[in-house]
Amino acid sequence: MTEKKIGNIEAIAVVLTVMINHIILNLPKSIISTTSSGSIINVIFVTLIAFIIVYLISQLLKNFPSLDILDISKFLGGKVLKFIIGALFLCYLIFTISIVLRSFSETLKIIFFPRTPVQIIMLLFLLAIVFVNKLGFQAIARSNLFFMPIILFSILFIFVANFGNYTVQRVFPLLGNGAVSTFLSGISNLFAFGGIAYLYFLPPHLKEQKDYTKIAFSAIGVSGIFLLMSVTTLLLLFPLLTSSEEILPLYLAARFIEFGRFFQRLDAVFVFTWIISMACYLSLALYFATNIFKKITNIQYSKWVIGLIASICFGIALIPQDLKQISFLENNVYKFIILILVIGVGLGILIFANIKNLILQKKKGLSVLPENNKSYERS
Amino acid sequence: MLKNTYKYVSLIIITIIVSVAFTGSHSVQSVDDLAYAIALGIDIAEDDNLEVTFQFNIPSANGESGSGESAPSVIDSVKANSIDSAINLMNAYVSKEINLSHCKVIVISQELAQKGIAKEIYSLMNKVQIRPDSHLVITTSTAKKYIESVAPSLENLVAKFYEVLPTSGDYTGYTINAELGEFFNQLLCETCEATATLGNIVQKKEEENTSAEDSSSGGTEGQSNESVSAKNGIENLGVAVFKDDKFVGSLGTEETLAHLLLRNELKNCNISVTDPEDSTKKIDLYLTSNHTARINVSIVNGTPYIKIKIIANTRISSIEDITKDVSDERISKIEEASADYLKELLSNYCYKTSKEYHSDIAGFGRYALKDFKTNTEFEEYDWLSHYQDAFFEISTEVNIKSGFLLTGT
Amino acid sequence: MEKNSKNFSEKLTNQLNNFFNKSTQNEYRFDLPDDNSNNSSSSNNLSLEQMQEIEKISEVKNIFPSLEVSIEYIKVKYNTLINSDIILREFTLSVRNRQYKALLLFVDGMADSKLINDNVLHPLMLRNRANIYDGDQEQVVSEGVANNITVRRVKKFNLENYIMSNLLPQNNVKKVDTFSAAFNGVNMGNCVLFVDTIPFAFDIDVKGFKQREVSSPNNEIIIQGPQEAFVENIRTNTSLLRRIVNNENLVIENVEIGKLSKTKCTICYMSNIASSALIAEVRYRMNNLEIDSLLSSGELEQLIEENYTCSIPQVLMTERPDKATKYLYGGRVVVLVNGNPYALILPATLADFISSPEDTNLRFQFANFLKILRLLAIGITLLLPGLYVAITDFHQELLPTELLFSILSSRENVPFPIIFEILVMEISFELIREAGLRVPSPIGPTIGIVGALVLGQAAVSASIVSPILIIIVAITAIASFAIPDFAFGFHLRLMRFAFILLGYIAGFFGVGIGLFVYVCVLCSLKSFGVPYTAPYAPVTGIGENGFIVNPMWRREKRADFLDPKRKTSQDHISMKWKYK
Repeated sequence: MTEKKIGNIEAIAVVLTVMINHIILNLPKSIISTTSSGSIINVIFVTLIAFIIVYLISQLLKNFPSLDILDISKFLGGKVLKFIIGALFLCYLIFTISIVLRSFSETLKIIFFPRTPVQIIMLLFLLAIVFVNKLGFQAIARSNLFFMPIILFSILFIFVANFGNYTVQRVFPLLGNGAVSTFLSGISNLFAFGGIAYLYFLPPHLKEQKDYTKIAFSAIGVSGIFLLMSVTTLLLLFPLLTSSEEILPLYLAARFIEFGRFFQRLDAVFVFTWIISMACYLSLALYFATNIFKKITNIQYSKWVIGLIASICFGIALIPQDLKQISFLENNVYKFIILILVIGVGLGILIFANIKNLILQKKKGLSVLPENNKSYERS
Repeated sequence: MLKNTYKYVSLIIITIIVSVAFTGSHSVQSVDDLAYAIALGIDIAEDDNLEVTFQFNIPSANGESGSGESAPSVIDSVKANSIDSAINLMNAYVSKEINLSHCKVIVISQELAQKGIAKEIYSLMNKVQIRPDSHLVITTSTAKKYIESVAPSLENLVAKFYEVLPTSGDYTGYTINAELGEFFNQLLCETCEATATLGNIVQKKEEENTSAEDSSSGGTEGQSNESVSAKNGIENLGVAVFKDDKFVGSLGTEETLAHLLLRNELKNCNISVTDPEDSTKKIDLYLTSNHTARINVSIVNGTPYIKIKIIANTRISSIEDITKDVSDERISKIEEASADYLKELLSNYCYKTSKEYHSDIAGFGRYALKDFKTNTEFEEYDWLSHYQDAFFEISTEVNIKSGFLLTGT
Repeated sequence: MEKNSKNFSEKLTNQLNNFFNKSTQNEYRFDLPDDNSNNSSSSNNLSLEQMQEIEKISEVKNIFPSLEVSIEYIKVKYNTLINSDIILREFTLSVRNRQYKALLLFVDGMADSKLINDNVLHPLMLRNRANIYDGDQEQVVSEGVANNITVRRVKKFNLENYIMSNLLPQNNVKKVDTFSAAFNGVNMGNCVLFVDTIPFAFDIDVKGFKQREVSSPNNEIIIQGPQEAFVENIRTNTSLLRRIVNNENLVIENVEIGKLSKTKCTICYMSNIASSALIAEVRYRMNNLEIDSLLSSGELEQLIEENYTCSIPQVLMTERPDKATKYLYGGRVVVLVNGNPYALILPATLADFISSPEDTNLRFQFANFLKILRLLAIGITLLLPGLYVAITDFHQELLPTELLFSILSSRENVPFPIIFEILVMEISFELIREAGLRVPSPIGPTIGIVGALVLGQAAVSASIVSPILIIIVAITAIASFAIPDFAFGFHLRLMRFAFILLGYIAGFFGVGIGLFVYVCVLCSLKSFGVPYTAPYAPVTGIGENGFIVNPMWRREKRADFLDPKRKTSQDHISMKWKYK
């Protein structure tokens, strides 16, 4: 079990990976397409909401130290609920892996390998992440820690190096498509913080339980900053992007960078770092997927589970016919899965579990914890 | 033992499959098998076809030197109905596969540009190989002739020449550095119109025939249109102005200066104004880089009202009465005269773009954005069609920071 | 019947051979018996188990009281009839005027004969005051008076004690009661004295074999710092350590490894610094090695490291006692193997392989510059050829146009694809390196001239390879020499080929995936329970024990991933003269 414990900074990097990779993929573009020039305000607004949600989660989890959402749902509704929740999250992870894998591989095919079948690119990815998963969670989390600064730097670099190309006035009109779309329907952009899903599964892996809030807050904070950065880059660089562009938006932004006459073609280097980052993300997602699978099926010997889930993902990733479907899945379906499952169901489970805990404690005649009440009322 | 064998065999099989799959793209993508087009020219041919001209660099066959010195280039052109089919057709002619990843310049003839080039630009932008920082040149002649007349004298590589030539606008102010990606963005943009570099071939015998016509309208005083690079056989005239995707006119060197000033893209340049005391003489002023155009746009009764204020810091670089002490009074007179000169320059530019070309190439529209609450309001207003009704209020101020830098004041 | 037929067939074949193939008739052939085919038939080819069984039967543990029997046993054990350097010196020993038969056993060349003469044979054989003393047979040990009765505790005359305490003026004498212990001593260069009637023997330290002097290190050369290196002899090495450590907390434990060779190894650590768990683990691993012989620290390294599938060294090796001492004070364990001038330092982390012993001697700015340079060297060694293949095959758009055209023109007449070209050059470079290493030193420079100059120049001018590629290979080679640790450099050289292949297969994608997997493997490694990538992943006190060298006054904490007993190595204010 100690093999699965990670330190605080690794944990932050794990959660961060999820969000950063979606930033690389398509997330800023889909935010801009819903809120246009209001995106900057929207991102700040959504980040604040994400902070509130994460605060709620960490408060709600306080009564269940070292338990993840599966254990909590078992506490709440027995094995059946555990199985249902586990299966839902498993589906979510498999879906994410497949979509991310497919969409990134398609992009790679466009950028680098026009003549290579996309299956082969996906296969190479899967081989790598299956192999890495056999090395264990710690290895993935630690190597992720190594790559995370480089990836963050790449986004920062794109943001800074494009300063000369910005048209600052594009932040106007400030409200974009209107207050309603920025603040009300814009809440759906909360799906940018899909890394919250991993927060539910993190507690058993932490060395320091008490730092959970700190970890969650730093991860959300950093990814909020980088989301803001990338949205700003795209917003100021391009006239309102049409959503028909299939290629990584940050890649397009990277192509505009020039430093003198010698260093003007840095985009391949960025793609290089993003390949690594994508591999990190996929292997982490695969790890959590196998972990959930193991938990809901109580399988002890599990080396083959990794391969099994990877091949399922491979199969699912092949289903979409064309890029249009992929981007639909990526922007719309993924969005609602996150909103409903991660934020809706996840929080619901936690709240009800806390109520049950409260009732049990009352029965035992213990004093009621004040935070429990508060968090219940607020939500 | 058997398990290990199984493992190794499967590993080898996977390696072979993967490498074969990738080498599918590999065998043709290798650096040896590609021909790098460094310039692409697009002309209009008969019956609405395109004539696409490619310029290739031939690496020097002398392998030992390894520097590719004085590399000759090959120019070839095909006629096809689109750029993509032209590339395909060209691939059939040349032995190596054409790669556009080092295409430095895209030349489009004025004739084609007048008909609209959105389709061509879009298909170029859609290619991953073509860089958004390729330069975009609209020629008054055909693109093929333009490419053929390129004869760099200071560089060995034609590619380098293409790269360096358009950047001179930063310090001369006579030409703009138009890039493909920027042009594409400007096409999509709701607050501005597109511009490109305007290029021309220099006929060595009969100088300045085509160029003078285009730019004489604005320049009452100032420099004559000397060719920027007469030796090269090609020159950059100024700015090609587009309305939507159609070429509608051009700006001469002085208007280009105004254009760059208003877009805050000018690093520094020389301007020469008439001496306020002696109208036969000229004073050269060096415009230093710390100048900004303050532009304020408001919508008054549905028409744009554009306020422009430019404060320029200059140095006197040459003046006739160098031996005399330059009095404060004289300096303020020069300041006034040059401010007037700039003001005229700018107002000519503004009215020409707005009234003649109806094209907001300076991108005033972005300053108007803040007057609107939401995007939909802005879209409904339709800035680009209202630009022709715009009013301008231009104020200029020139500060002479120092003169006679070396001789002392 | 069968024999006859066999003979017949042999004859037949001989005849046939004679007829067809005359020349082979007198040719001498020798084959080792194939032990798989007839395992149990002949007594010569005993299986290991059988051999051990036989040995067990004939094995005698304790030394016989009778010298005659002992001598016979020794003769059998040492094969003295055919073994030339085993000396059995039989003589008569006189104690208190009594004569005992005695035997001195030693190996010629290993024991110092002058020491034996002066300090063993001389006092035992010649008449002197000690052995002719013929006083009381009993010795008074203590005397006490109680109730007017004198109680004397007397000790009976004890031959072995007498010999030990009175007759052997040699400093290091041990009593051994088993043959195996006695033989151990003999094998190490001691001489063993057997005396009739005594059921044990005296192991007298008279080692005097020739050995290399302490000299300056050959392979870990530094500019500023001590110029001493370990030698083969383990005692010399421990003395070097002791001298530099200069503290009584240095513990040097003995471990013998190898069922047959019984190689002496030592575990050295600072008892007040190194973590007890770490020491116990080292001891545990070294005590549980079932091998016949251990000849070098390189072998030991492979036996005690955790992961043997990947080629990354997980134990640091050094020939410098000062480096070993530095790590001892840092809370690590040093293992010495007799007969090998390389000490093992464990556990080791990735950052240790990048640091040179000179780093702490230099100003921290210099050291950090060198460290960053080495990091660059690692990157180049590992990735440059792979990236070159990837860029030229997949990502030409990354190159500046001028560079692209110069690569193109340099490759214009080269017939081979890039991958083939680079593999040929890398392999021939490895060949030159290996040949340069193995060649007798007088011809050494020739290899360099022929290999590098003639071959390279000729290959380029014959357009077999492109000059750019030669530059790539040369930079890679130079970078690989800049890596301070030999084993780590070797590992990178090996991994380089993997990255070339990956770059060829899938360009940046392949290299990226390869790098990801490589780093994951690095992160999964552990060296004696310490994560290989510490202190960066997991993050533990990067500030003072990371890759970057701090100024001397700021090296306050010992690496916490080693869990040392003393956490700090300096006071908070180390320069007391400056800041009170």
